[in-house]
Amino acid sequence: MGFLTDYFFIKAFIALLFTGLACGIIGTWVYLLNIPFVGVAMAHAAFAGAILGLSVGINPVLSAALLCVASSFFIGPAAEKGGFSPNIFMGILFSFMLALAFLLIAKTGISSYEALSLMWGNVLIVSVKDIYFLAAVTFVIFAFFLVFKKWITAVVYDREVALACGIPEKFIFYSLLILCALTVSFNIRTVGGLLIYGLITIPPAAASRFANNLSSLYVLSSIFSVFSCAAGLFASYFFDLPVGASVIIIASVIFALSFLLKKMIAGKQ
Amino acid sequence: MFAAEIKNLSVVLSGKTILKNINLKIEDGSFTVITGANGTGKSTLIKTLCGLQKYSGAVKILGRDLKKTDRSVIGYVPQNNVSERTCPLSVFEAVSIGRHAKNGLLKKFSEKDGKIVRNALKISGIENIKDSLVGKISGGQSQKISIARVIVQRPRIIFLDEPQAGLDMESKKDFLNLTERLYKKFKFTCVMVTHDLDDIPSFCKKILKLENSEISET
Repeated sequence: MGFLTDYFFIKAFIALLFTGLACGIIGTWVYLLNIPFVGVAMAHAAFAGAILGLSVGINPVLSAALLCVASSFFIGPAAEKGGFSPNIFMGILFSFMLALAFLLIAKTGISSYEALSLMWGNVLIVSVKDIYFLAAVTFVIFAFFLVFKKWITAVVYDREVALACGIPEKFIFYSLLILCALTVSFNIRTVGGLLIYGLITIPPAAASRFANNLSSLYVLSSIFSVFSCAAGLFASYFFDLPVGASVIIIASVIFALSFLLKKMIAGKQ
Repeated sequence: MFAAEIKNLSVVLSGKTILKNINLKIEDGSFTVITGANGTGKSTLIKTLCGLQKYSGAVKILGRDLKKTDRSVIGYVPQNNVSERTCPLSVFEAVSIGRHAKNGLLKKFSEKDGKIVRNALKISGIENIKDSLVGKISGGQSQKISIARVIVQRPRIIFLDEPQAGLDMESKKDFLNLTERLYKKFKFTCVMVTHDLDDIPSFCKKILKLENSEISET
């Protein structure tokens, strides 16, 4: 039970608790809006932003957040003006950001270890300041959720209907994108820029197999997300595995089990 | 006063002109059907009048500029898209969205709101499925949800965008009967677009045709 007194483990556990809670809620919105590419596009924007930060000597988490939020402002209006689905623009953004990141790595001499640590994350090295940022982002997500719950429900149900009813659909949609951007970028050191996409996508997909109302979808998605983070950390501690990869593998196992369990229940009925 | 008044309305989407210099007046309390072949811009016209599309020209709803109009006076029934529903909302919750929009953000959902929603479910004939998930119901029932959601919003003018598209014959008939009952009960202005002449209700007095960006009475 030495891990209970291990300073690094406790810090990592608290950080991942916030990561799990934030991703559970954000992921549910991404799932309901059917924009799974948003996670991957944001993750690559955060990765490119962090590489950019390292190359010019500023805090990589801050530069990741800036580029991520800028991307979220680009996705919505660009898709609307171009008459495309936001998913198309997210795909383009994803490719562009990845290319930008590789270009910066090649030209600025950033070590491959540093670049990889941003991809896979290392929650054991998060600072107390990072935890405060994660707590603040999680608090903002929950506060936004509680204040705008009625409008969020209308928008995730049907964006067009919400707009026609007079609900400020654009404000809600862009706010959700910005919150997603902040979640992804502030988690670049915990789960990692690329793997955070999995944590946004997989838990709500698993939760949707069992949720019979919107509240249970939020709750189950958060439980699966937090459990994946906690179990991933323990697996990493006891078996000496990378934390980010362990978290995503456990989330994927939960999804596979939920899929099989649902099939079994449906078969019995 | 006209329920809707359109002057020189033009809509351009992705560089393509969909509607050009449309002029139209919809009388208050009337039931108007706009027909036309696929691709003539009927849905674009309806969406524009609901404030869902950018446009040039002048659009007045109940005498006020569309951009300054309280949106809750406009009811919108979209095309049937039940297969796209991933949100695990019950029928009751989906219909309640119309009340949330009417009430605004701060006002809580009251007992009176619940009564209004239950009444709309009853009138629309979907009271028995109020606890079912919206993603697990038929296309006909889905359209009745849209109608019930619009009723609880208490609009003055309702726009229906090919509401019977994709429905079987029985569901179409059922939907038309419901529309007629509600139109006569609530006396709101109705504008419906359809490309299928068989979908036009018998009680409709005004049928317009949209062709080559021109509207003519048939």
